Amino acid sequence: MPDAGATDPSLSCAALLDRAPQRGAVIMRLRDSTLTGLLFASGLFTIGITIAIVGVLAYETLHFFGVVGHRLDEPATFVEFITGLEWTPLLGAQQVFGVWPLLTGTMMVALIAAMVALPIGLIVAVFLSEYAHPKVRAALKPILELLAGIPTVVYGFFALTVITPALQWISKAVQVPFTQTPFEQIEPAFGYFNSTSAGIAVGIMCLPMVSSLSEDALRAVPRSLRDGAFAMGGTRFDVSVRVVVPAALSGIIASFLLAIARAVGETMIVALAAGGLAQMAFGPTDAGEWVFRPHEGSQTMTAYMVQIFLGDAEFGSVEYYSSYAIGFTLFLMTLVLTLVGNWVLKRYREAYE
Amino acid sequence: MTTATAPAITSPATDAPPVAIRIRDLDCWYADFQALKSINLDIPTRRVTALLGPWGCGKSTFLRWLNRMNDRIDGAYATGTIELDAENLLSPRTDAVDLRRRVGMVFQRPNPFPKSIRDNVAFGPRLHYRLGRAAVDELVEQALRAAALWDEVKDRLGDSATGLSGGQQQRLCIARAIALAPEVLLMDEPCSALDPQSTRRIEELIGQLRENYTIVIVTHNMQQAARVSDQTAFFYEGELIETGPTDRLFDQPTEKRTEDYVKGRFG
Amino acid sequence: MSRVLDQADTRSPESRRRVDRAFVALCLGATSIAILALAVLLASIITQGAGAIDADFLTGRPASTPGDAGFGYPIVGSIAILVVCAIAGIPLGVATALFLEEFRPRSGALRPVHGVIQTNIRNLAGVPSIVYGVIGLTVFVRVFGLFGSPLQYERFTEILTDDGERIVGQLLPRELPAVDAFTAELGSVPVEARALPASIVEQLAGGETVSIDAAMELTDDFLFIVRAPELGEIAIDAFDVETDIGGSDPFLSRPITITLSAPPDADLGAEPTERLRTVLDGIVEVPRSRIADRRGQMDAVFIRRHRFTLDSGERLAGSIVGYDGDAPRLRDDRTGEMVSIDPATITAYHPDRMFTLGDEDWPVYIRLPLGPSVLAGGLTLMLVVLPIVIIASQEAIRSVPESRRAGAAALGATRWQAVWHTVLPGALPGILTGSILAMSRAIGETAPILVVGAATFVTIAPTNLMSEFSAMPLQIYDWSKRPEAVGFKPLAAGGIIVLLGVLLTFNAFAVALRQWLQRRSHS
Repeated sequence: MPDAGATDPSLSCAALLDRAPQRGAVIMRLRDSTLTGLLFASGLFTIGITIAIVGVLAYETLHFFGVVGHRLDEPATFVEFITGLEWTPLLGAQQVFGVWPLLTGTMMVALIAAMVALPIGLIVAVFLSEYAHPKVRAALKPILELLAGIPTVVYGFFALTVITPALQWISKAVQVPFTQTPFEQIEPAFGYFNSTSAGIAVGIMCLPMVSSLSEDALRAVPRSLRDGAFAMGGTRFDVSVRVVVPAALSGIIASFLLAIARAVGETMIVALAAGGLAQMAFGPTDAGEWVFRPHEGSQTMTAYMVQIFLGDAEFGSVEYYSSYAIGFTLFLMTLVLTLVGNWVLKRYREAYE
Repeated sequence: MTTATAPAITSPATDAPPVAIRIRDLDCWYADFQALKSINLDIPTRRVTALLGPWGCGKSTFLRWLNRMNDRIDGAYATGTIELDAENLLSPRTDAVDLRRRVGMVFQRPNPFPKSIRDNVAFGPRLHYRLGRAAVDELVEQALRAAALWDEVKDRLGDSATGLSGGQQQRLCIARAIALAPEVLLMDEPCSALDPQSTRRIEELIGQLRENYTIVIVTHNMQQAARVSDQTAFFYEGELIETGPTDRLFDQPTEKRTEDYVKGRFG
Repeated sequence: MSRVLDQADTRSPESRRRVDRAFVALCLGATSIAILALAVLLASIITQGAGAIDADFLTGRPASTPGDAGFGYPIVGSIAILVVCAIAGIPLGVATALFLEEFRPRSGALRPVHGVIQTNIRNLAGVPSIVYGVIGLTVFVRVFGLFGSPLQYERFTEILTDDGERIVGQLLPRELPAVDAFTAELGSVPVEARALPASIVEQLAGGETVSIDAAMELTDDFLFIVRAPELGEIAIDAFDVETDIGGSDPFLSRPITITLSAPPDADLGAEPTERLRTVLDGIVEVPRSRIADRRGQMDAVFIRRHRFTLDSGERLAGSIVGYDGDAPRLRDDRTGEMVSIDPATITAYHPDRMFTLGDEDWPVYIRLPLGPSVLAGGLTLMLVVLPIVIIASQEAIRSVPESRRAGAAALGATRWQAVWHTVLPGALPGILTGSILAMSRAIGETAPILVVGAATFVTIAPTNLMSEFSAMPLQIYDWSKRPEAVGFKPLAAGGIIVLLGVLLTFNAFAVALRQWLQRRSHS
């Protein structure tokens, strides 16, 4: 066909196309709708994942409470679950399912992580967005991305082999002026497993997330606002802290919420560094005393799930299903945080678009 | 040529007002590109000076040197002198932060902070002064009255400034600038984003403000320059072509390029 | 105005600049904390782990002593699940992204679905990965129990001893059969212990008090169950001691001594040694020193579902878990109870519902339920990274200029033709980069594959989709949680170096690929 066109210059495009076999309009439309259907199905698959998550967790949680499924010998009661201050699922006949020890353990780690990640992350974000020279920024961003890309099990190892010994050493060192005991024999205030070490590691892990999302929020603040503040004689500090940060506040809060959701759901760091002792990390104990134990080990919801799924409970037993109830609680907590975070973020984006 | 120690305010003609800002031999570059070439200009006190010219002629760049906003642009630098109160603004010893307290600025697009109306107006004063609540209230009221906005917003000072109309926002930005009681007020095409109604109100406001402030306004709208200004400076391709009383410049321009521009032959 | 300001205290520019400078110092401090954290992390891992890496480590198999243990099988396992994850996840993710960006439904009925999917994906990205593990366990590993329940795992091992003897059977590496309980003292915590080695049982029966240097014994695949009333039943082995007996126990990083003694009134039976031998009957003990080679595989034996109709008309469905004589013992699916069925009453029997596809010798062999297999692990990881692939692909597709679509549409291209010929080629660099970064996230994920039952001690490399597998991060976790004294920490650090090396390679590859594709599309 092209040859014909080449040898006969008078042959027009129209004539060329006349000779070519035309693609069937019906087939093309059919192919289009088939492929569109397939793409739509992929989209629906992601909804299916959510349905599977909610369905499986909800069903097995009801199973745990003895509402559905095969009969458990002694299903847990809902009231005990949401009010109980003791969590002893592996104690055989004396097992008690009160979720608060795991909840407080989770909150303690998330709180310590937030204390590390939120302020540092925000300050780094302000620095990158408002202060840093583009070259400095270009050098810092990959470092933060590297920090974000490190697997959590590595942070767990780091917590166990570096942060915990460091905390122990520091807690011994501060005692030196007050005691005659030789340094080696001073009891460290921090246990081998402790929430603080895990929390610091989780905080370092969440830091890049806070700084990158907050930086996006800060950079989305229009330049005209900065100009306005500078024109009134603001220093860089005035402009950043009094104008840009307040203007980006909802985006910053969203980054905080998403980071806390990440900290709550973090598994391997706490499984390694916080230990497996389900005790109230703060608040009242079952014995009626008030405690605050950032220096001791505590079991988080995720660490308990690891314990169960590593085979500490027999399949089909109440304690086995308890991990689903914990999983459901965890899912709901992170879902609320993520939903609110994404909602705030969306509102924020709309405000500057 | 005045020296740095000589009094800045001298008047060659008996009826001419004292000079507020004296610009001599100002050259400005963005990296390799020379944006302003040897500008000499006196800006009279308590008068409105309009900077006129087509897009890209350097008039905004010039304006932004008057409060050193160009410091924020990488690679921008200037030589020559800009004298305000016998102090060379371009000297590295001049504190840009303190300078901007004395030289306020209003931008092309209204840029109120996403704060309350009250906090917007009080923002500048709070940066530079320690103020009690009563002082802030008084300042806010005075500034808003001066910007002819008080009656419209006095009942909702706590509302977000972003909820105001475009014209109100721009008047708020003017109020925000004059709350610091600056000596000079710079306006960079303050009406370009506004509808005719709001533009008229801003122009009226400029007419009132000229009694108390030295105003430098950038515009590419000749009618506006004619309406609001006492003196006009015509910029073209980085050069100050001609300057003089507004009426004279429009009626009898001495330069061919000025004439072509004001007659609408280009720009 | 000026009157008010004249009366007010000024904040001097100097003091305000001091605040500004202090804040810069704060910024630099915060930033250096982040950099320092990374530096300390990398330095500590390199100093701890560099010595562990050698050819044996990179190719070796798991072992119970640090000197013999290698990282080879976990590397192979990670690659295997990653291939599954990529093959399943990338097409699905790109397809979903295309649907969301290019095929937005125009009709009113489907419009809300589009919004729901979009919101849903954002929220899925925030779901903790361990939750995906739980879903993978239920959906992929068990397939909702439709094809039987994995009540039993059997591990078959072939052992060659140094004198050429070949023993095939189930390896019981860390468990000895239970004997009656003894009371012992563990620090101040009263404990009961069972499943003790025969020698200790004999000593205890003889009224002796036995001390075990646990750190030494525990390295030798030694395990016993300790029952402490306060703590529940816990398995003490090399890594669980500290985990479970109080967080601040004094014997954390030094050898522990557990003192055991049989109480005077303990009923050990008339011939405890004899009884022990009976229990041990059928078990061949092969001392570690005599093992020349060991091969084996763990096979999840699923107790399959059987359906019976009884002469009473009753229908039962469940898994056969054993036999009482001739009578099959059934675990009823509905009640979970064990039922013995008299064979004489069975009127109809429906054989196993079992599904297999392909042959065990082929790599693509599928059997339902999937069990803790490469396929189940890969699909579970796919769930974790799918939102990441989708979001990255969406951004890549969005970055293709609208003019290209308009150009194609103006020539009469159908939507699909426009997407295939203009959008996809333009978005490809972004999609590939995003996908590779998602895969590097997948390779570091530990919790989901831990939940689906990946092993930390595999004795055979994966051969097909149904093979048991281990993975790098899981092996690192397993090594990390053992106590200092046992000496696995350097191995964990060595494993981390390998894992981080793989991640860096992935990232470098992603960057290089993006640059190459962009250059190609521009020239």
